[in-house]
Amino acid sequence: MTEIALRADGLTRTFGAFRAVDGLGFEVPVGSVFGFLGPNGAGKTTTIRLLLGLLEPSAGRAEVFGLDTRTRSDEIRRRTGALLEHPGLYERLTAEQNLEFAARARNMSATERRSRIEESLARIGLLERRHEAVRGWSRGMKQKLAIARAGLHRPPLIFLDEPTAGLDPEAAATLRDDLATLAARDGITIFLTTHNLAEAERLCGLVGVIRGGRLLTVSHPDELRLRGAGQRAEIIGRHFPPATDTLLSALPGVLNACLEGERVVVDLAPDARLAPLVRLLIEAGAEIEEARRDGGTLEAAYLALMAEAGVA
Amino acid sequence: MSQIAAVMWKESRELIGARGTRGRDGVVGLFFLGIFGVFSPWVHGVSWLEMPIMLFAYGFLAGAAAAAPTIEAFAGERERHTLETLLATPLTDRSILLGKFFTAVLFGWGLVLVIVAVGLVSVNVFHGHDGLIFYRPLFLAWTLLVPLLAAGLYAAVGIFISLRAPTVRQAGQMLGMSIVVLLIAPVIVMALLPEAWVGPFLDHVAGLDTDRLILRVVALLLVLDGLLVRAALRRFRRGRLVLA
Repeated sequence: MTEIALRADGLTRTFGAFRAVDGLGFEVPVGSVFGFLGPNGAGKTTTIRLLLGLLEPSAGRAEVFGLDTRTRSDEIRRRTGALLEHPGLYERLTAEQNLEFAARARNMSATERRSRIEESLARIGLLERRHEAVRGWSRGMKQKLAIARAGLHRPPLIFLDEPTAGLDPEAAATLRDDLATLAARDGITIFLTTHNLAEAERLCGLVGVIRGGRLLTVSHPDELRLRGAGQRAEIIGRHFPPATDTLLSALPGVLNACLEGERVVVDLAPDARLAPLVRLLIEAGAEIEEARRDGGTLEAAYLALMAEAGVA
Repeated sequence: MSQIAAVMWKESRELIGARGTRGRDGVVGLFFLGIFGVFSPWVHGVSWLEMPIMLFAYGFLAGAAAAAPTIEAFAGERERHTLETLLATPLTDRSILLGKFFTAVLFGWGLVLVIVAVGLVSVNVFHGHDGLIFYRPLFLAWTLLVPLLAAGLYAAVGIFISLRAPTVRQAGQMLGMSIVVLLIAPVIVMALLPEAWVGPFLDHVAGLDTDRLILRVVALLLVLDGLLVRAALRRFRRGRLVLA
């Protein structure tokens, strides 16, 4: 049976009449990277606060490793690391002191503190600058340090709120690789909010989409992507038979087909597959170079979901 | 205890690292050191070791010094966006609050201890021709206790205000007003009370010897400290702080 790191059931938080989070229900398996997607003000940060036990739910409940967020929040915070909306670094302190405090707050021994801090700073390439106050650092450097702090005590679950915001592309890619390794090798569960859909697609085993406090969907990015896949396809090649339009239109699931020089544009019914069309054309003597559907990105699926939710 | 120590470790390093204000604070500190640690013992001689007014001065200095960092305790963390990260650690509510409180108290108290130590050296240098001059034991106890408890009072007020204030500036303004209220409150209370009560009370106070009077002040400070720290602990709610 799959072990569950996070579970929300009817999780709701209101502020007066405003429902910031409205009946969320999801499960995040141990060792997975869960991407929480949604526009600004959707309820992502409130959800993280609820899961960390910083806020109490107005209704419903949430569990982290089986611990109720209402009653066991201290234990939950001991077993998690978090990078929240802001890096939350003490600017008057040096990089080393910032990590030292995080380690002391978790009762780590002096030896353990020293080795973990050195290792963390070396991994993010900031060991040489450990004695500098972080006051003058760039946003990207601060973000790297804050992420190192979140994972310093090697928690089994890390919450990351927009972790790659402010990082240069190279640093963002390195961080993504690090996070993927953490999840795959060490079995660490990562709860990640992001606006970067390509990042979510690359990194997350499971994504949840939230809007207006309501969870629109939770699924694997591939499944979600297919939902957003366009119904129009394009087949590029040579030696198409003159009756290509008629030939393809006769197939089930093909609504329309149109030969335009060295490409055929086909409109497909929902759930229709492209492969039988390619096979038929090859049998009819065509040389196929490429066949592809329009869209099919997580972004397209996300935008479609947002549009649907907006209409609803 | 280790969690309180962790918060104190962080707070003390932040105090030391407050580079922008270090020079100014140093000048102010040297000024008070000169007045109370050198000038006053030199002028008053041996009687400096028995002057109740010095206890008032030490209490005020310790309180003012302790109050300054408490303004930043929560309002500063909120303003610099570090509060939520602090609250997301496994540190307990009590350890966060008491860690900040004790750091401020020790800072204010430590400052006065330095002044007292320098004063002792000064009084001996200027007037100790017939041997070592030192406090009598009970007055030494008052000299240690009054600034400690005064620092506790101001730090508790500062923390209580800082918990509620959205910005450091606002916390500073509220603290300034609170200090004024603390200083003039006894005068106002006396003015409002009926003459029939005030007269006997003043007679009673006048009839007390210095040590008994100071003992009552110490007891009052102790009670006030306890009540204010207790109120601050009750006020400390993670959810409320995150949303403020």
